[in-house]
Amino acid sequence: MTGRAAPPTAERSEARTGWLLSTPALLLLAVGATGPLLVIVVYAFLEKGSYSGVQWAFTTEAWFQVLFERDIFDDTVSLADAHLTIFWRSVKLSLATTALAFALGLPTAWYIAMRPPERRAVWLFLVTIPFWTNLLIRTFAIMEVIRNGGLLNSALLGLGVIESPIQILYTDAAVLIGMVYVYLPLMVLPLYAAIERFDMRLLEAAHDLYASRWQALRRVVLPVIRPGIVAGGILVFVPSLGAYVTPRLLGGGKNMMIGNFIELQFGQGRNWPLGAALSLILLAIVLSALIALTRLTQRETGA
Amino acid sequence: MRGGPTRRSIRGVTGPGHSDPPAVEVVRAGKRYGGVEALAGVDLSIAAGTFFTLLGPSGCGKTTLLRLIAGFETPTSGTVRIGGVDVTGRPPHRRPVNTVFQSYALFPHLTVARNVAFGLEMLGRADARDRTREMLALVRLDGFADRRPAQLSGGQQQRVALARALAPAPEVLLLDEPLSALDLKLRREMQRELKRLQHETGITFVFVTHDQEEALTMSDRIAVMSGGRVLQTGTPREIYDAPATRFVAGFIGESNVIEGEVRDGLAHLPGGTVPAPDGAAGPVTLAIRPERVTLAPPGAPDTLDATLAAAIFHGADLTAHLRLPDGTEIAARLPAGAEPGPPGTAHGVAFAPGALRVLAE
Repeated sequence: MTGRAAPPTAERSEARTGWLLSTPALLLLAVGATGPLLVIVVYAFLEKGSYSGVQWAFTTEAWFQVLFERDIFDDTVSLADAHLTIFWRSVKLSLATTALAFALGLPTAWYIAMRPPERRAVWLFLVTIPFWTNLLIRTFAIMEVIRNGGLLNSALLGLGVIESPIQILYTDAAVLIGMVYVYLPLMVLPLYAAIERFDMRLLEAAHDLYASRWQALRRVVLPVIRPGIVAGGILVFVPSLGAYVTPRLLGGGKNMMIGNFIELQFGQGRNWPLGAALSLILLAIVLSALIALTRLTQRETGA
Repeated sequence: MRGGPTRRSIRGVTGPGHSDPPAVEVVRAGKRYGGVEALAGVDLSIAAGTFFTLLGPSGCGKTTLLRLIAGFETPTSGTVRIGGVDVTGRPPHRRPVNTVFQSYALFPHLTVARNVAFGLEMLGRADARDRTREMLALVRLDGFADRRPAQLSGGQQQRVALARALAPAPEVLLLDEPLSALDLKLRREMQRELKRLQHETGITFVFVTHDQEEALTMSDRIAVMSGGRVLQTGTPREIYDAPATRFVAGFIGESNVIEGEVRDGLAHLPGGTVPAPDGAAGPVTLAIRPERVTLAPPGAPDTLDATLAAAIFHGADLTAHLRLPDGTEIAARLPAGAEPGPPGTAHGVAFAPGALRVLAE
């Protein structure tokens, strides 16, 4: 017995050393990630201050305000459908952004992966160039393209396709175009990584077994590169949902997304608790989307 | 599986009868990649129901030829017919052939059963489930239906690839060096297995290999390829006994090659004269297998003068390496009991009647 007792002790002390060694990293995580989140959680359950900030009194008023609004004069309660609309639009636009980025990203990534290895680096570099520029500048560039007197409308007018400019700027379509443009590289890169690893002989095998191009794509290529699709989807969907600059500039302030709405509460709205509660709901949406996606992948690739 | 192999053609209309067109017919097929000529006008005719082997060293064009038949490549010139139907421009998924890939190319995201069923599902076959079970039994993988390819050994993956390609009952099964990744023991086992499957299914097998021994033991017919051309087509015995060119003689088994000249029915070779093979005249290159060479006393009629360079004992037999006056080396495979003497001993080299072959260059 005594002889056998030695290894577990050694293991335990090794484990203890491991924990000790990771203390700096754990501290950093606690202070850097958990800390701010804790502040948000606490603020979401406090009363709002008169001008801004919070008053240190517990209340669930902020959570009530997320869904309902109280009339200022007679205190009647009605559903805050404006809030729900903003949430719905955000989810809808983010899903559309993800889908559109995938539709554009897949052929792009495929094309790059099919180039000779020495040329791929050039193409990948071209794809990532927008990252080198400030987001504001890129967004203004998009405005220049889609505004009424902009490149797109001038071209269409000049070609005689349309008779008067189409209003694109300050619509949901503008926000969608802007977000797809901004987040497309985040879709292309993981897709490229997955396609580059894809064994092209599988495609030949599929064709050999009577699969048409479409069937081979659906039954072999997409399932095999699924990890890349999931990664790209997460990388586009999550920041789209919290997008702030793009909907603000291209949506014209009226067509808000969650990000703008949260900013409003901390700014002009002077309702920090509501802003905190909204942030937590955004976090909840993102987390449930991630969990759903992970579940889906596990079921497909697992047993 | 006994009692009538399930031989159903995909889209073919070939019925039994002596007027059957060849399973595969390649007419003057050429293929260039940029400036490189991979195939230089290949003609090939493969009879239905045979085990046909494309044999050659790497880069000889055998895989390119297989890919032309499968439809992964289109020929730069020439025609490919399968079951008498011109399929030259048809994509792979519209040809009644299936391929066993060198790397197996099993779908990693599908189970063994779904891999085998893939072709059947693409064809919309109602009997996909039964047929899949039947195929897994045929390759003796009954208990593995729900495994993933990554959970199988190399030999088992090989069997899945075979079952998957055989499941749609193609008119022709193409095999691209399918045994090259297996160790020797497994390889022998799979060679027998392939012969059994070919026999039981009656499907035409077109088998690509660079291993001459594998080609000789397995094939009904062999086409030896080199430099994008078919040099010789025949049964293993024809190819071995009567190689047409110096390349074939050297590539298949061991061969002695002797240069000389034929005059008046005699082959004048270094060290003497021997009866000339039929139809030979003028300067010739002759070939003979070591086992058709015997030793005779020096100076005996119809022998060549030679001296022994070395004698190597193999156990079952003995190889005597002899040198003709001009330096040409001749190997003779002798019975284990033969005693050619020490190096330098003078011998007469005799050839078995009719064993000398004239080679084309």
